[in-house]
Amino acid sequence: MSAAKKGSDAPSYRIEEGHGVWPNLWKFSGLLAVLGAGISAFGVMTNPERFGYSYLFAFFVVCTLVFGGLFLTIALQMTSGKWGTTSRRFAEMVIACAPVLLVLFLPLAAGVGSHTFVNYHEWQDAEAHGDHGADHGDEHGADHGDEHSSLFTASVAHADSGDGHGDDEAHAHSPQEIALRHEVIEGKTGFLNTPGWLFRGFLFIAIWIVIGAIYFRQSRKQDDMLDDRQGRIDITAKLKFYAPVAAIFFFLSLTYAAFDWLMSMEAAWYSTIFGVIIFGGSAMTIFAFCILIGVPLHRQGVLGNALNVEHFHDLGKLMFGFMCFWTYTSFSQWMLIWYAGIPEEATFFEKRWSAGWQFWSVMLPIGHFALPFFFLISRLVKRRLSMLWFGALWLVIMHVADIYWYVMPQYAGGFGLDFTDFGALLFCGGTFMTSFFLLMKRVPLIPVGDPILERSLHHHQTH
Amino acid sequence: MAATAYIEELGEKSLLPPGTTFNDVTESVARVTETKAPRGWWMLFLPSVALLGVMVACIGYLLSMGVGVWGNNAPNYWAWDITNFVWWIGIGHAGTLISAILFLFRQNWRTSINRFAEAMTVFAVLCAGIFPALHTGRPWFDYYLFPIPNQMAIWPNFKSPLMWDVFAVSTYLTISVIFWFVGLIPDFATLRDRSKSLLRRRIYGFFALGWRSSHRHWQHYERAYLIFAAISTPLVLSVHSVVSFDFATSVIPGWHTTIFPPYFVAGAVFSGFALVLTLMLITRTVFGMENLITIKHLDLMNKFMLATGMMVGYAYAMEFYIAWYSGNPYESWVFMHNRLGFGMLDSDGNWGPLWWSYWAMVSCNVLAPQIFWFKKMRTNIPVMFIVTIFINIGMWFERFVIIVTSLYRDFIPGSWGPFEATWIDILLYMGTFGLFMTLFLLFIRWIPMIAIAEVKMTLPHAHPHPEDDHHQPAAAAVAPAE
Repeated sequence: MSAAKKGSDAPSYRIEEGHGVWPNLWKFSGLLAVLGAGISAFGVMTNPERFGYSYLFAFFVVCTLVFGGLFLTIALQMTSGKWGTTSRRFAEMVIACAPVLLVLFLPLAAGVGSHTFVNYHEWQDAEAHGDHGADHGDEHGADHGDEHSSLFTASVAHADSGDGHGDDEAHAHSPQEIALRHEVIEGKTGFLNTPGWLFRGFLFIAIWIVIGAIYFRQSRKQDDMLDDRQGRIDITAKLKFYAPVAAIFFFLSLTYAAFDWLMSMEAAWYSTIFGVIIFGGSAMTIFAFCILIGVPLHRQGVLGNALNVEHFHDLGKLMFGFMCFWTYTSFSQWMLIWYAGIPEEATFFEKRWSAGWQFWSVMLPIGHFALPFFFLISRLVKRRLSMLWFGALWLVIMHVADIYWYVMPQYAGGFGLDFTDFGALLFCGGTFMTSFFLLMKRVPLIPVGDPILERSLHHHQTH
Repeated sequence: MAATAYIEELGEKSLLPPGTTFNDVTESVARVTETKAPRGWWMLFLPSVALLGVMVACIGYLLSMGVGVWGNNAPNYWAWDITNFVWWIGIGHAGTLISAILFLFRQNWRTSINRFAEAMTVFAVLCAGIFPALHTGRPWFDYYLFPIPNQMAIWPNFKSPLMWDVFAVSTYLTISVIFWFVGLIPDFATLRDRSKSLLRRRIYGFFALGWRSSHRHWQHYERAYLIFAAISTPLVLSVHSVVSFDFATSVIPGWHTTIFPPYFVAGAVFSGFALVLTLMLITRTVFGMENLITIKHLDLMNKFMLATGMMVGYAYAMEFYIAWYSGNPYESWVFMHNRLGFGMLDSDGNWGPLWWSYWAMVSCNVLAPQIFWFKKMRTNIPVMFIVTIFINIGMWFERFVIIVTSLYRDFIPGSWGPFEATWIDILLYMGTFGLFMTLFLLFIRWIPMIAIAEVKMTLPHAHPHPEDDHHQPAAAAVAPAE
């Protein structure tokens, strides 16, 4: 309120004509989405199996952005952190676009439900086997393989197909091993089955939409009641009160979405830290996203001084912190599995250490950690906005590469960037960003009605 | 700065009672070291020294007889020894978290509790170190653990998590001591300047390192403090992560799981906060510190325990869920039989005999803190005292459950064996409380137990422009009425 009235030249915190490309950015992203849709359609027609992986990758990248938005919004409301109030609206707009996930999920649901996408063929085959299991119940063995060849083609043939490791004895699997693996996966079909997978997918997205709608709309409501201080305080108090409950729903749904959509592709594999890793990458991404959007807006004067170098420095520190957290959790997962060397756990990393994926597996610790660590640790870099912006862009690219690394090695064809990967990413990312940019034109870009906004506007760092 | 500037509907209020002056802070903290100890202090100190004696006697007995005096057996090669080690190390985590991470997050409320917690960190790590040192069996060869060329000209095996522990814990102890001491320097100078006797002035003056409170001193001090906070922050994560590696790098079901590092860190902070609060509630009453450690501080600490308790609960749930999801019968066995008890029965139709320890853990760590969802309970001192005791017990059981229930009924029924603690197990553990409490009581008696200088910085009149809204929580400025 007082911020908006501060002077005649005070910014409105809204995107208006004349603010550079911002008013028209949605057209650009929309165009990319259409282009992506075209490429994707071509991908579905030519190679639906490959496209299933490409699409899951692109869809999950968008999901992680929403995860990050939910985390930042809930965390700021829960802790009343004054440093972040002015950047909270970016996260709120991200989660307000959560319904787009529902739209983007439909092709995936259709593809998986109709077995057109083979991402989950391991457990889907086991599920199909279980349905008429009475006939085949105990016939685990070599002859079993013909009937369910696709069950282990990815897990076994994968290593053989890629980079000449086919003759390597270490990769040979005995019929007993294959049968055992089959049995293990069949045991999971109580959880990993197509109806359950579809139901949970829609349920998770519904949870994110509901939390997103509540936190965005209530914050928007505050914008329009600047004369009712008590009313605005009541809303903030209410959002703070429910934040821990929202956090629980958010974290559990994130965990199980990560299990369902990513982890279950390698159906016999498991890792208890999996959800935490996905959370770490998502949290890093939302801070990078706020910097990517906020710095150009700041330069253009749209935000006045509401988001200044002090706020960007804080966003940069937290982006750095969660980058380290991602590294810590990812390292824990890798190191413990490597150290113990239990074959059934090692399959996940074996896929990422064969068939041409070695390069990608080495690139991630360097590009997602070592280089940005030494770049972003400097105070100077975090306070020089063009450098910080570059760092944020780098980390977003690395985050996309990370999700790519989780999804694509599951495809049996070995490493190889495909045009459908880009097509799917353009479609999912473009669609989401179009709705984001359209929303941006309609609302103030900082939560002008938040009762603790004033403190954020005058945020000075003590360290 | 009027108190109305806080938005009370959002639960905001001043940290310390309005009107608290700099002198009030100095007086109430420094007075403790300058006056005779209250009777309550002696009532705690004498039993603590007695317990310390018990510890020394137990260690002497153990050294003369060997580790066979413990209840450890095959297959329970680790039992109370490592349980106690992990428990004490965990207790030590609250200090660094409060002093380093909460400092970086600019949580001003930490100022009333950080000194306290940092001291506990140092003492807890000392207690923790006793157990792995003894459990090697021949502690006089413990120097093999250090990379010194010894008589056999071999180097320690750096692929062993035990080695990582040695370095992680000793680094942690070193940095914690330095961090604690650096924070103490301005307060030692305060005590020096208030000293009436020469001896006192000399001793505190020695530790104050010539502090004159000059502008330059403060500048260097704050820079050093920030750097130490930055160095300590990864240590908060790394130490307990390395401790978790002791288990997780193995192939034992119940030990080998990827969530262990962050799970152990969350549990360590959880238990550390609980013990800090237990002791703080006592000290606060004995020394009349209610104006410096207010209900608001306690409320925030309880929220922290609720949050970390939920994280620990999440880890329990993940372990359990993945034990089923993995399809690994050995994982399922550990969780369903050894821990849950009734989930899987042995061939004689019996429950896992240590089921009660798992349920004790879940009740104390996950169920008990749920009461903190209610503000009434978070601000009720008897309730929080009882809950912290529950958490202290629960977190001990957590380590016991992890260690013993993974081992006592393992892969081959023929090698199963019960675990029973001996008197030495129990007395040695109690004895480490003697060491801890003796050090702790000496600390609160002779060292400023609350960071005087830091608490002062949170007072409104410490700000350069107390009337300037820009530097204050100034909701009034947002109100359209003004």
